[in-house]
Amino acid sequence: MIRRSFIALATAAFFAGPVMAQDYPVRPVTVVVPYTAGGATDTLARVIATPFGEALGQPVVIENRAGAGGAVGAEFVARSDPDGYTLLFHTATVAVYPTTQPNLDFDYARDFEPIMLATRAPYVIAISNKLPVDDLEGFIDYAKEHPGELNHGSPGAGTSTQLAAELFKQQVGIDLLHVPYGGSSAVLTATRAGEIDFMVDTYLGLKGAVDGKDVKALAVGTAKRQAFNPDIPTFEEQGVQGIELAAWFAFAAPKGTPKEIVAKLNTALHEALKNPKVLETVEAQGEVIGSTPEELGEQVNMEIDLWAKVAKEAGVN
Amino acid sequence: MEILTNLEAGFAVALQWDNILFCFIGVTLGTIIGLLPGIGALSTISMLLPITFYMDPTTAIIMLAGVFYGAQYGGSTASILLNIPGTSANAVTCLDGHPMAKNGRAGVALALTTITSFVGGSFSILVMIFLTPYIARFALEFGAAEYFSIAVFGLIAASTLSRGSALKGLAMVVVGVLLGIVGMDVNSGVQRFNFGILELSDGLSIVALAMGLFGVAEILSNLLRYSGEPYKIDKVTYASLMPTRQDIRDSTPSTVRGMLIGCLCGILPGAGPTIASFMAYAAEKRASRHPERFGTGVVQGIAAPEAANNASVQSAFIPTLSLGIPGDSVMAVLLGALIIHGIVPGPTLVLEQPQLFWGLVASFWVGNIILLALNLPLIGLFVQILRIPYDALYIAMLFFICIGVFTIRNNVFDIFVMLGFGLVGTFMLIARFPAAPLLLGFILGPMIEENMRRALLLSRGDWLTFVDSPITATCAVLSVVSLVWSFWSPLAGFIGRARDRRSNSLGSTGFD
Amino acid sequence: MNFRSRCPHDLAGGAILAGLGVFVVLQSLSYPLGQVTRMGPGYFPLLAGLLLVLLGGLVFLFTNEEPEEETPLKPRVFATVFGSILAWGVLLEPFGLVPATVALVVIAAFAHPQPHLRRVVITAVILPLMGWGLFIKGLGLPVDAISW
Repeated sequence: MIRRSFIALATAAFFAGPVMAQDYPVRPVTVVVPYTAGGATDTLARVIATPFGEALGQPVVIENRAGAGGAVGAEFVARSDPDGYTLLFHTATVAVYPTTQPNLDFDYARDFEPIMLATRAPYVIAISNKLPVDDLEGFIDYAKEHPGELNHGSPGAGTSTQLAAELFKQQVGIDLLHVPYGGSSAVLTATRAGEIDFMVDTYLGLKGAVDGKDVKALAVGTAKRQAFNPDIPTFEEQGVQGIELAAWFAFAAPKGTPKEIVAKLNTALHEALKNPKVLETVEAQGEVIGSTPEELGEQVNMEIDLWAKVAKEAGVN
Repeated sequence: MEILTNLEAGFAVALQWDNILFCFIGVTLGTIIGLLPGIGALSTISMLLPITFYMDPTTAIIMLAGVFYGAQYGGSTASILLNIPGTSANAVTCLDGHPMAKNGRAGVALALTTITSFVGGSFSILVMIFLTPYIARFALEFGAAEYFSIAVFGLIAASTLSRGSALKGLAMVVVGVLLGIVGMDVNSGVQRFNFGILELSDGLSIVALAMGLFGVAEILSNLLRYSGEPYKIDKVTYASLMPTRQDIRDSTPSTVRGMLIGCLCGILPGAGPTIASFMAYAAEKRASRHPERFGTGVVQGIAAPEAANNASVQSAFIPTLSLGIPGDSVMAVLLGALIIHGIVPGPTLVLEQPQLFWGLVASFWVGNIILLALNLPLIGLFVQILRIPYDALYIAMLFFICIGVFTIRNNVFDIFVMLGFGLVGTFMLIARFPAAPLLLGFILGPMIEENMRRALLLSRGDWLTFVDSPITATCAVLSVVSLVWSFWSPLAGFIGRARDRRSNSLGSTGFD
Repeated sequence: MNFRSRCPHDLAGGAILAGLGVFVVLQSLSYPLGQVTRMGPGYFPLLAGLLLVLLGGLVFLFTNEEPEEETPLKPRVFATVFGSILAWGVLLEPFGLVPATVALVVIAAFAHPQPHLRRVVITAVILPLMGWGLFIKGLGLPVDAISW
């Protein structure tokens, strides 16, 4: 293994001539993670990186470029050479920038070639133990009887997690006071302590508190129940129709990256997503999607409009 | 005696040869990066993280945790010898540590900080063993109003951190608070004072700020005053390293207070080692009958903050492991490391992963003993750093500072931020505007604003929320008392005399 | 009030702080202020800015602390120390860690009154080697050693 990649490296150094799509890749591929090392996004990227590199025949290196809710790293990749050697691992947040950071010179369709929407992690609705309700319908009724009295905690104003929760509130027609915190774990602490009544997060962050019965998990934001905790019912089972709430993770390349390279990357990623270690990590929080490049582009477009509408209605800037 | 059985099992894990080895690697690496200004535990652990993916989770966490607490041991060395803090948690150790070195007591200062570090760390480990379940609940008592109250109290205490004018100290606190505002407002999502610069939208990097104000400014002002002669140091013998009985007697109460403050700061999410060390120093100065001697090289001024920052890094594991709440950014990365291995910290962790929890606790003892054994004999070597010709030393310092600041976010923008604050810091040093209160204002300012606004949202605009719980009421009283004490000098003098009388009558208790 | 007997550092420092406060106050007025019970993003900076104006003014009027020792403002030291850091930051990404560090060492060396050639050369070899070995190879710092 080590020997093979050493030879590959040495060969790459010798024949680093003009980039030809059919030879790609001849040197290690860098995947930029626009968040700090050790976070949920970074973890996922690193787990995928190894089998991704094996499928490509070149090592995949993770580089953290955090800042501005992921915009710093995204901008870095947008400005990189479109040769397939610098890729972006991004979340649904790219669809929120146009709404929450209007000053940002950021345009997904103009700056990026979508590669694949790789995995998704459904949002789970969790409420404080102090509320006298145990299911979603009960909570909605309770919130309607006490308008404006309950608190909704989010990891920050204008984050995609807040907007997902706002979408839910709008859909079911409840009025909760939005209280922003500086990060998901602070929201969970407050929900545990009873300072906050309602929150959404992916299951990765919630698992400890749900297992320890410190908060109540009411619903999972996808059409099907999830393997990570099949006891949590879906929206539809509890009479909430027409919305899905999930965080997702995707790969993109700078605009102008040759179509053949994008196709090669998509194929290699499909291979990587079959790796048992990847499956284990992904299924702890959600499921593998493995979309086509076109599907990712459509998803981003659809969400840009969706979040703009949700934010406007919720009065977020 | 279930705890003893658990602990025994924990030591069985910690004393496996590979765990000892990785513990040793971790604490040694921690000492080294702590020693180097700029490079802290956060960037080192982030960079090491990928290497640990294919290790046993307990071993991986033992090593990464070793880097974290090892850095607290190493960090004071640079503060004492070079007046440049190894990590921001050691910034306050410069205030008295470096004057001690200038007085020819560098060896004593290093020995003392190593010992107090060990005591502080050990205390928190004991707390962790016996009180984890209770403390985890206690941390949940702290809501927005409580955080606001405690941060305000800290800020008022901070204005008296440095020598000289309290007014200038308070002004620098406010400057720090203002610098902390830069970037995205958590409450509204609005970008403030970022002047259209994308890199500023997460705020200024504390490492860039601290290294500019303390590191670059120190090097620069030294060079400005430098006329070519090398540092003078006396020959270091083991006798000259050992603190005197008087030193021990003077520093023991400070060590105890420091470790209590540190342990508390570690338990509270969001406080962490830097706040702990600042608070401990401020408390010592308050408690002392000779506050004017602080800043001239008193042992109390190094014992308290070093006991505090080590106590806080150990106790910070309590909320991280038992609630899954990371107290600071280093803990967040360690939490990430656990999650990568499929271990989700929470109230059930101690029951479900006993070998991890107790193995880790036991490894902390092992690590702290290694650190003690490693650091004490090396003091003689560390002091030799001062023998390196200054023209090579300052260049090396500049390099390590640059690389350390860069590694925080892999962004050269932070280098330019540091450069700017280096210039500001140099003029502050020349004009005697203290940098330590500024740094604390920078840390506490966002805590105050966010929690004040959050508390008012939660209370639906009722200001009584800031006094209506036992914690908030106590903090409010303490804050008012502190403020009056600092700025109403006749009263301060009166209370001071009264205290003198009282402590004279209590003189036989041995706490002087 | 006799300004001539006053320490110029505190006069200048107080004035700068008050000026900074005024700037912060003006800038914070461009953000929504909100109300006392529901503060907007401008409220807290406005308060802090006003406080700084007050404190800066008090420092200007009343503080009088002599500097502890005379510090000559040598332009060469400023230029070389800042030049070395600037060079490192500018050269790091386009050219790599080794050239950036060599530039830092060479420029910073001239901050010293009499640069010692042999020591400078040794430093210029050791530091880039350490940077490469410890940070790029050891810790996986994502920069090139040398690139062009």
